[in-house]
Amino acid sequence: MEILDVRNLTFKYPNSDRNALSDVSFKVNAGDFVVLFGETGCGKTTLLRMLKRELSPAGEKSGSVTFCGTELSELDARTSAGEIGFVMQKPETQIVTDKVWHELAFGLESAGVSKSAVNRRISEMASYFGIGNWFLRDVSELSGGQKQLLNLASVMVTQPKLLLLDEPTSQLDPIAASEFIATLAKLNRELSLTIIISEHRLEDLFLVADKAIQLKDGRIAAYDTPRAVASRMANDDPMEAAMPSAVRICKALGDDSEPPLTVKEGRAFIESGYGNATRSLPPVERVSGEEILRFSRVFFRYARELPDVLNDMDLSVRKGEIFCILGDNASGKTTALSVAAGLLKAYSGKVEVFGKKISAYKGGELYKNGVAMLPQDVQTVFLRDTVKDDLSEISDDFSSLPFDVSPYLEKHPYDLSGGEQQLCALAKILLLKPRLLLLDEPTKGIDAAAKRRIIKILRDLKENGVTILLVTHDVEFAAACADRCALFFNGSVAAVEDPETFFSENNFYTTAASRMSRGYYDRAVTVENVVKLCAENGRKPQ
Amino acid sequence: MTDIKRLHPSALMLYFITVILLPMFVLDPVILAFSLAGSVLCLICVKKSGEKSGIWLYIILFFGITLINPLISHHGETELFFINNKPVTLEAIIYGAVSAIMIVGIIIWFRSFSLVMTGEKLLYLTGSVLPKSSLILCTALRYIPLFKQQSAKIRNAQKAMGLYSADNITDKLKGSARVFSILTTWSLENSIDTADSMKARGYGLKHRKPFSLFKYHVSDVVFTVIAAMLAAGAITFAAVGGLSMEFYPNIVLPTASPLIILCYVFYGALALLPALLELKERIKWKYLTSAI
Amino acid sequence: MRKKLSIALLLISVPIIVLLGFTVFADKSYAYLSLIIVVFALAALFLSFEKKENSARQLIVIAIMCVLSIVGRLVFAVIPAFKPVTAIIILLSMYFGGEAGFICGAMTALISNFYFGQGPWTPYQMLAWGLVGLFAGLLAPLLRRNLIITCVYGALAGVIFSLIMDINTAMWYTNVFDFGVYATKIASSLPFTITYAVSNVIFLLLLAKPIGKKIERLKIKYGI
Repeated sequence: MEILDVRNLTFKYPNSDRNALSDVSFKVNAGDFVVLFGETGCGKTTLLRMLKRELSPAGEKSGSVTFCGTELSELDARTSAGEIGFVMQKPETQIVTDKVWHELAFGLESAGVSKSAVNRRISEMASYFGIGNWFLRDVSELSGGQKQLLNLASVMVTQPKLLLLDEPTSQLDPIAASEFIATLAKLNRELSLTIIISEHRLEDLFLVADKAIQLKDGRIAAYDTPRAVASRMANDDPMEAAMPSAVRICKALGDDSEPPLTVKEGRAFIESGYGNATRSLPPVERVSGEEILRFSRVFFRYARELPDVLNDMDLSVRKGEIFCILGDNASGKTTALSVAAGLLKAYSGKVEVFGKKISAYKGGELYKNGVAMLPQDVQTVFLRDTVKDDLSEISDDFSSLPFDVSPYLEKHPYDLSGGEQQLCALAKILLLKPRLLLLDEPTKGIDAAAKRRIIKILRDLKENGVTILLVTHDVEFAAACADRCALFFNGSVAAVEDPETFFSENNFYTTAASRMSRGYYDRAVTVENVVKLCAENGRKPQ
Repeated sequence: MTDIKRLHPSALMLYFITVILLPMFVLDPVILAFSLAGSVLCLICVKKSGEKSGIWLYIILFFGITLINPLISHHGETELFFINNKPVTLEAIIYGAVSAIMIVGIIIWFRSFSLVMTGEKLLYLTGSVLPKSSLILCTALRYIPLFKQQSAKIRNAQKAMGLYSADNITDKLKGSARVFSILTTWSLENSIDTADSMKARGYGLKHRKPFSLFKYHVSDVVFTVIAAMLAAGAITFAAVGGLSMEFYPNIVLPTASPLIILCYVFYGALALLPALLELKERIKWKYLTSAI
Repeated sequence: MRKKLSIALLLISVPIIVLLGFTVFADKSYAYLSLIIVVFALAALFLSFEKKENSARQLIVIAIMCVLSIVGRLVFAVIPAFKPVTAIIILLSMYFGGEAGFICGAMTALISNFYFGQGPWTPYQMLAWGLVGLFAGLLAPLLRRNLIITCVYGALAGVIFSLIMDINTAMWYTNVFDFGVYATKIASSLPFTITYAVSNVIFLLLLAKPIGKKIERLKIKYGI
């Protein structure tokens, strides 16, 4: 049975000269798990919002959206609010009240449900989502993953039939993101809840979704099972980079057969299709210069009574390398970076930058042609009304940037997409002409294309002698750009190795490509590595 | 956890209103002494163990008020000495001291009130009468810690660009202005998400019903009835018995009629109610721990 | 219906309580009576805000401005009387009307006193800041046109705020209302009054343009 029927939906924003959505038609069956993907700016958010009446943007609209046989605009207000749930991107800003229990009750308060019924439903919801332990807490004490779970639970209390999610995991670390998607899969399986989710990261979602919709310039480019959509995708499609690793390996090898999706299928695909006479690629030559940053026996804590966040940490970063620190959420990675940036002071131990003690730099001296840091939340970088004014605060020499910022100069920073904000914030930082660049989660919340662009920029910077220290959760990203990787654990750096060794020896903290190829190939950690090895060995004779 | 903190918000509200109602209308030394004693004991019961009591502030306030009155009021028969050719009278000093007890008492009651009446309880009380204002209060309480975190993030980001350092006072002020400005943009721009999330969950539908976790227990009812009876009794006896004290031209203490004494007993019990509850709790725990 | 009833109740109960206080008991505690009057005035103003139609977006903007002024008060807590609260309240009223400004002022006093200490002065402060917002809303068209008028209003608002708070302290010190005492109090708090007025002007000069621009942008972009 169809729950949703979208017909010839076309939409244009008031001050725009092109359609945000053009002639979009599709049907969704009750109980389907649908993933919606496409490049940034292709109309994903607009489409999702057009399916939720309360959030539909103002503009010129034609076509129809029918929910359970009724046109959306004719739905009763209560049905519309309660039966179609919507979860947004940022975990933080969707929360309205200060207490977890109150947030859960909010939707039911609006609907005017009686006290005893609210009590029963929020208790039930809290135990289903495992919120019981933090039910009475302040929301400000929760982690990002917990906040997003709370957002989901507080939408679920009104028992929606259709759940819409707009990039809900893009601000979460990979572990919290997987848990969130697992929860969605469970809701879909156990309650036969219909789900439409848009996301950049498709590795996990393609495995659980029944259908995938690809949106391109406001039109539906494909709508089928994930495997079929992946199979038909052109090699030069910008979304190819967002596909699961197994799909990308298959496509890059020019294989037209039905692509593998999971790690297991990917491994079978490689082992049955390609030889392994050559087991590994020649080692990558990495040259590095003198020591730029040095931590020796550094200890840090936020307050006297709190535990150590940095605990006897040693670190040495050399000139001209990209050094990646990986590790859990809240393990202290960001703290380490802040200490390196001189924002926090270690209570014991020595931190040296460019061969000089960090405390010897006075009054912003460290940041002039020295150290610069791109924070995790790039919105904290912007002050002015246009990108141009913001960049000019540092310098007018835009031509020195390794990439072109001209399309964004006249825009307000908050009108840019996540990836564009990232780029402009990086531009502002780079105008400081740093010799040591510190990056905190530079790939958070950005799409595959923007991620590729960042990797290229980092490589260019490295060519020009800039040293880069970055902390990230994103293993694929680290494998693609790092010269050395380290695992941050228990307040210090546990293992420092080149990425090939690092990822091929890790069992869990590693890339899908490495998991697919280990034992068959050695030290192949990225999709490109595996593809190269497969191509070199050639197809097995059938 | 003390007993009084566990009471239902409306029981608490009623208690604090009634306990300050009588000293509001009568400047009687016994009533005021009970009020002061009760407020101090209540504060001791509800304040967290490490927290400062601020006792010195209250003492300074007491002497301040006591001394100010005779300087401005020159009524009264008993002239003690002259300042600037104006008499300082014993009656005025006593009047000052009595008002000081009253004022210090009330301030301490307020202090306990704000420790007991958390944002959550306040919201419960205002929720049904003032739904919109309560929502603003609730959202504001949610935003305060968020804004503090965000401004720390902004400060670091700006500092690491060398745009802001805290080396001298002008730089510090300019830096704060930057941080504040960014915080404003950030919060206003992201506010749309919060508003959308409210709308998506049906905010604005008719017949909204505020929800709370507070439940009326038998103990709340018992407490409310006792407090209301004590307060009603005390006020009635005070009114009927003509409880009143005169300060000028000379001090006339209230005559101790049976009604007045009943009034004292009732008000005394009311003012000491939180302390009595606490005592009961302590005894119960002592008994329990010895039983374990 | 329920709201009308509560407003009617309010209008009747204020005079009754005041009269009761004066007739039944011989001692007149002016401090308490004024406190009661202030509380009822606040209740009436809050109820009139409740009657207005507000979108979710407007409510959130009001909440945000409250938090900004609270954070402002906390940040500048070290310098007595020098704080951006009044400036923010005035700015909010200019763009969102007097009711919004009233709520912002009253809430700022109420919530920030959770940090600075609640007391009998809280209702006075709520009323004083609330009224500053309410009147700014009435004068909004004028204030929006000219920054100098806004600054003049800001300076006046500082004086009015100080005068209202002086009534409170004067009565709490002596428990009677006496013009002589009030005058002494006004004279003694003159430095504070001046600081209020000056800091309001400074913050208005600093904030009026940028915050005004931000609010305008929000209004255009999201149609609040």
